[in-house]
Amino acid sequence: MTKLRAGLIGTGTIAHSAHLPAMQYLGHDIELIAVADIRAEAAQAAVKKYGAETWYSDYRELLNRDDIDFVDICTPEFLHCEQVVAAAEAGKHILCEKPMAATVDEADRMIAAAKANDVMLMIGHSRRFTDRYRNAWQAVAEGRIGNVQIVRENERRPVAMYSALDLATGYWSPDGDRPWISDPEYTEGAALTNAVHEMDLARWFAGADALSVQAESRIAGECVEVADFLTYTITFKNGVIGGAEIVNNLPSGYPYFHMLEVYGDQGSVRADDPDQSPYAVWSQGGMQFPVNFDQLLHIDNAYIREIGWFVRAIQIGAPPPLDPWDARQALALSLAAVESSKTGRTVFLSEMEPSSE
Amino acid sequence: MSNQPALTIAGDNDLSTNAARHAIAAVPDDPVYLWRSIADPVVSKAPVVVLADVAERAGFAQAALDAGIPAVSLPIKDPDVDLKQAIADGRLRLMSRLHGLPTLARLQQDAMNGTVGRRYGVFASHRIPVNFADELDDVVDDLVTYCCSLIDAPLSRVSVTTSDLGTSETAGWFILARFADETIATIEVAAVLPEADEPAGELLIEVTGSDAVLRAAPEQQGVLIRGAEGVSRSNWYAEPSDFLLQRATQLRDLETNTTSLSAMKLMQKRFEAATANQAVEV
Repeated sequence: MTKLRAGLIGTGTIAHSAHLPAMQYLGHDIELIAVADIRAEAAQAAVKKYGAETWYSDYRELLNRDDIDFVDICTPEFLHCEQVVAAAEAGKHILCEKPMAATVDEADRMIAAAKANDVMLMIGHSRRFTDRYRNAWQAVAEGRIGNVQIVRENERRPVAMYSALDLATGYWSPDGDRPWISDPEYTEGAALTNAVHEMDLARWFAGADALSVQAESRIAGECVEVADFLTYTITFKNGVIGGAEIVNNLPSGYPYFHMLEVYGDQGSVRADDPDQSPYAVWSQGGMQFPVNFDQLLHIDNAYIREIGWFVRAIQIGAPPPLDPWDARQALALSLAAVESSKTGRTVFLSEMEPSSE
Repeated sequence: MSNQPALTIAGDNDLSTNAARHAIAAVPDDPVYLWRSIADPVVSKAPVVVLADVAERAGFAQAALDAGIPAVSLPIKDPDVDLKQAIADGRLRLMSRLHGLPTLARLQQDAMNGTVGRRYGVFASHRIPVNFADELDDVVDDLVTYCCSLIDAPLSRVSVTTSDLGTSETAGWFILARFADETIATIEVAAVLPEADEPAGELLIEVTGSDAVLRAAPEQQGVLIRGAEGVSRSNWYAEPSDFLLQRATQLRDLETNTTSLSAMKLMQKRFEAATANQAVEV
């Protein structure tokens, strides 16, 4: 197979913790040509550690290169639409981090741009690429638990989730004072940071689109200005009920973990991070999980598979392993949950369609 | 030795009988009166603990209150105006059968003594076998009452989704409840497990907060046997009456009845919210 030449836009937390290491692992299929980040030091750190040829502080310069086959966009969601459309118009195939965009309208424009320019677009819902969820889904698809009735997922994140990763760089602060991920001007918080994963999995396991959602959210942690706690109940069109409680900003000693339970009329599937990390240290300060984040079963080698399968699809001219429409629907669900939590209303997904706005 | 009972236990079932037996054993000098029938008069002014079956609880509670005796009861279905008023002014207090599980009794104490720091939320799920679906309402009310005791704050908003889960009747309740102190409770009860001989099912309670997370799975109190004939388990829950009577004493000592009031409102509002399919402000 021909090696594909890649450019990566946004060298922040998820790039350094997941995408760049995965690309390095996939070196037989991928050659990292260039990276771009508005923060020169972040881009330079990526070049130094992962061996890119060069770096740019303006992503458009990267897109202007003729020797790049695909771009991996690892920026915040509010930049995705602009950057994906630009990449599509530059003729690059696109892998873009979740959540797909900040609005459903933006997601539709991204899909339209990819189609108009005949490039592949895939959104990186990484959990679809883990052994854990693929095995669970396979059991469901084979009918081993009968008809699905309930999909329950809970996710917990400690305050210091990324502290053990020794990242070269962290979250970008657009206004210079606080990271975008905790700034209400730039994000809706847990609904898009975490819940879009759970929304996508719930929809996948339910095997249907959602009809409506009820949600509650709050700001739980200190010094936080976006909702870091979200709980919701989804009613799917086929009657399946989905639910998740997502709690961030838990004590530092608490592990990062995800729980999935799927109940059918003939059985159930349960997948937990083991109680709750493969490596735990007990000390005076309590229990710590030094390798929790990158060793968890619900992550395993997801990014290697996600990027590897995306590249393989380009190489052989196959459709993307994950249709961007799925990511668009997960985004719509997350935004519906935000609306419900703010208003107290049951929000129907039909309300989230751009034509009804 | 006193001639008057120190405690009256109302009800004519295994739970009330065991509670009376244990109470007598624990405090031999304090007689306990087992009030088996509403038709019988209340024999003393001793506090009443109603452990009767659900259909009889309102009657026992009302009779006690009519005699001027405060009562603690397991959840009461459809309380009338008088009973609601008694809960509002603290003469009638509510507890859950789940307070009888030692794990959950301990969790409730820890939740109330500040272990979790700033409390974020409560997650509670109880899955029961499909052949016990007719007990679903009672299971919901017990879980609701227990969850409110972990929060002890006024209820402010309730959203509810119900589902028949492929059957002909409601088999699942999915409740989101917001409290005045911003705690959010997620309460899920579903008759979704395979048929079984006992209704206990799978129960998980979590309380999240800034300083700690409390997690209890009482079904882990059992002996699990994986053998040639498959998997079987026998639970070894401790006798619940001791912990229930302790909880009743705790409730009587509380200055306010916020917990019981929120539980009563949540038990009622869940139906209104389910019918409306919209959040109901309290």
